[in-house]
Amino acid sequence: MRDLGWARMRVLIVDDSRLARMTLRKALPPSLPTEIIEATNGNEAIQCVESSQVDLMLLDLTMPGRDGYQVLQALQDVGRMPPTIVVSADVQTMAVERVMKLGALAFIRKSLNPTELADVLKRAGLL
Amino acid sequence: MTASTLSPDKLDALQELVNMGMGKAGAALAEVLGAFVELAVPALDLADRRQVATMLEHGSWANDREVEAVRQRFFGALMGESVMVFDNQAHAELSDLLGHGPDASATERQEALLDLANVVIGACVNGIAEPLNEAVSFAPPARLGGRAEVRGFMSRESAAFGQGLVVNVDFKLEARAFFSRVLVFLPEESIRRIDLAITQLLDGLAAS
Repeated sequence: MRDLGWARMRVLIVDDSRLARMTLRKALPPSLPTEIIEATNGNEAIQCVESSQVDLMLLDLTMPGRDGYQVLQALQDVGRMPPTIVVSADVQTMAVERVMKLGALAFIRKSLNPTELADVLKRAGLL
Repeated sequence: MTASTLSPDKLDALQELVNMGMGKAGAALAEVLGAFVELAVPALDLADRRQVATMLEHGSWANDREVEAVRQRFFGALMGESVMVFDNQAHAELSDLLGHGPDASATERQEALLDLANVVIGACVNGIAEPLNEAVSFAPPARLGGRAEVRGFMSRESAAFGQGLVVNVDFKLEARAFFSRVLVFLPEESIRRIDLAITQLLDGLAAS
């Protein structure tokens, strides 16, 4: 369990779609003080994590170039994996199993109103 | 109305909505086929029907391989017609995955394509219709034919469905691969409705 006294949680949202990034920004609990940074592809995400502190990563799987699986693998390989929640439209059982094996905290199905994000953050001890 | 009606932001939003729909379709296909479906980002463009008609002459499709197409009409929140085009590899791959084997009858192979088209077209169209918050109904999918029939189809009814929403969907089923492409034809009124709904959706997100 983390210390819940966040001065400001630095959240990295990784998705190639602007709509998806906007949706996730809105889904973050307003009571949680956050600083949000965005990456539009896997390479940008890895650079962000390697060059600055990231307290939470919300990661899409299906992206051009390096996909979410490759991001998880790359960060795991260098031991820099931040707490990560995968937010994806790919809801195959094997996809969920694969990301959990790669170290994700949780998996959320993409939607226009991802209300479960707050619950997942609570369960993960991040809220 | 021209092909430039939807701004890049709106096309991005529409692409994401189709992506969400395709995710559900991928999960359904994975269950039916017993194989992991590798999903790529669906590429989306809005083009004049006459431009769409040349799609079989470019890129992955610019060869003499035979293709097979399935058409399906839809109505309700959105009305229009969709065509899904497969390369001929799809026949064999799908029949094999569904356990029909190399000796599958033409009927069995045809049914496999119709079933797949039904799932994928449903996912695309429902994704596009998501912000409208109204149901879309579908007629049963039907075989359209090969290249000649697809060209003929594209050249007809241009007044009714002047714009084509081109959705490129590539499926990779573990070690297997085949090309497929989904075309969604919408009348101007449907495109206007989508445009308005996406504007409201984006404005709502930007305001919060």
